[in-house]
Amino acid sequence: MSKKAGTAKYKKFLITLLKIIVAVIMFSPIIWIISGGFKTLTEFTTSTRIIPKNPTVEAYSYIFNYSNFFKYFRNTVLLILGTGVGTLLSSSLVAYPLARMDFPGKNIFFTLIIATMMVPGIALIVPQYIMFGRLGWLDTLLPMIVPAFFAYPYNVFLFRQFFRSIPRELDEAAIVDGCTPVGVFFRVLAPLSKPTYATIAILSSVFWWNELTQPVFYINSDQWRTLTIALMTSFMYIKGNAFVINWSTIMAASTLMIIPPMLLYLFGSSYLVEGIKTSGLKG
Amino acid sequence: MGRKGRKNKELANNLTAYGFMLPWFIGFISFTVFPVIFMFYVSLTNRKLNGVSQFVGLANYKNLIASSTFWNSFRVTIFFTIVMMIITAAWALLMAFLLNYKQKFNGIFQFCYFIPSVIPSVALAYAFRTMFGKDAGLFNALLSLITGSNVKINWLYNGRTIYPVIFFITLFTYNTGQMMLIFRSGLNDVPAELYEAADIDGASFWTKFRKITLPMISPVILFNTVTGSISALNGSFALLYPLTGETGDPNKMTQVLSLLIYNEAFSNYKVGYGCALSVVLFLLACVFGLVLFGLSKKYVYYEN
Repeated sequence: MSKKAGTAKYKKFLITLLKIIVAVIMFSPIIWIISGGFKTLTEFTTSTRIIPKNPTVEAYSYIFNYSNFFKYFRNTVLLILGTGVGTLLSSSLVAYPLARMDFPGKNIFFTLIIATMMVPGIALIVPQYIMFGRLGWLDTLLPMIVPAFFAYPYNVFLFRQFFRSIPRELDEAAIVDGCTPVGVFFRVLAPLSKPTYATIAILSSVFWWNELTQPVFYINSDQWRTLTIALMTSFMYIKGNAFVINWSTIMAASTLMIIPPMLLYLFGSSYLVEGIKTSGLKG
Repeated sequence: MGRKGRKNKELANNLTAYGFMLPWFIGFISFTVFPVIFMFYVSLTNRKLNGVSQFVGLANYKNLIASSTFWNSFRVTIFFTIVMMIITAAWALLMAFLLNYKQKFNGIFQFCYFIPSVIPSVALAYAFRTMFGKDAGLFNALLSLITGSNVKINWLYNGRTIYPVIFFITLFTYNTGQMMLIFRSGLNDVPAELYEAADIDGASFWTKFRKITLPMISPVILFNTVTGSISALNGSFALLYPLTGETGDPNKMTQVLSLLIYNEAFSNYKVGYGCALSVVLFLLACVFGLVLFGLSKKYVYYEN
């Protein structure tokens, strides 16, 4: 008996130890980023101390006073708002008949939606670049915001999954009361799905906050740079010197950029976690 | 209600459904179908970035087949996708296992495990570029501390270390975090009675893992690994572009197809050739997609 208790204790100790090691590994880049933001460039390039020897807010003061940080922040926020409003409206509308109505072609459309989810966006970005160029949209946020108003397959899929979890009796009761299918959506499903809208808004915001690929292709000038692009350009070099990478500024800017997702996790983790789980689970 | 009335009602119902789906119809035609057709067309021209273009038939594809750079990228893409898929799935499963072992401070552990996957990949890339740096890099410092000698490995520019480092970094991507969450609920769904019965028989941890856990969560593993491969095709750009550049240092060892497309179309202004490469990437994604469809129809349980 005591031997068994001993093994259990030993096992618990091992698992806890492993848990801590994994936590340290996973969190190490975040500590590194935060620590780097408070170092001088000289200290960053010569020392690996986690607690800076001479902590400084030089990098932050450069970002806030001498860079276009607020402009990049505004651009990222505009991108998030534009794509968020667009995708919430359009994707929920498109998902409704797929979740609730019967009509010819439903299965084909749903299969096509799933199929487009499998197409990596990067494979179509060059033809889209030419297309948006012809429309005069390059170097603006439009190539990213406008498509959002025409339903992202991924979000359509998510809305459909969530709508299906709402009991069908509610629709039927509304129809008995004289509601049309349009009314069912606006009076029953949409109001009941507020948490779903919140979940998808959060997932979409996290995606666009982090998105690098599309801005790299579509944005050229400083005017519409997002924070992710600014990290690769504006914050990267010391003024007047394109050869020395300004790591302290990059780390300070990165710190500012990892704070919002962290706060979102701390205060909205149930939305975030549930949303991410649903997006992958149960076809 | 007469037959005509029912027909009218059905028509109204169908029109309502199509009306709701209209945004998707428009989006699907303009942002997927049209670009796909247009991509095939441009791949048959020698279009430059400034728009000058001439029909050249299959010349781009002939050049592509003859190009060692293309074959290198093709191999790197497949290698990268498959290895990343396996490694991130295994790591996500390990983290899910550890988190499902309930104890104090589990919330803090999940926070640490999950946060890297929702921060900008470009920030992560820069963190790792310096952590794996030659001078003042964290890993060299740790190795120096352990071995007692002055370690100066240039991890990201060394052909022998680049792959282990890159795959280590992929453990921190969105995909890993997502898989971890999915595995967690998959593991929770395994009936506890199965483990209890195995405990009575005195089964070891590995036996239980092999005989109970793995078969029970196999649909989840399958789904995760194949969707993981799609996001590896798509997401590798945002990680590798800031990490190893569009030329895929060192010596093109990390130049996946998406980086090569960017390099050819935007640095060499060869948009027509870039489209031919895009066609290859598109077809590659189709192959992965079909595999997913085929396998999931067979193995993954769909509620209906």
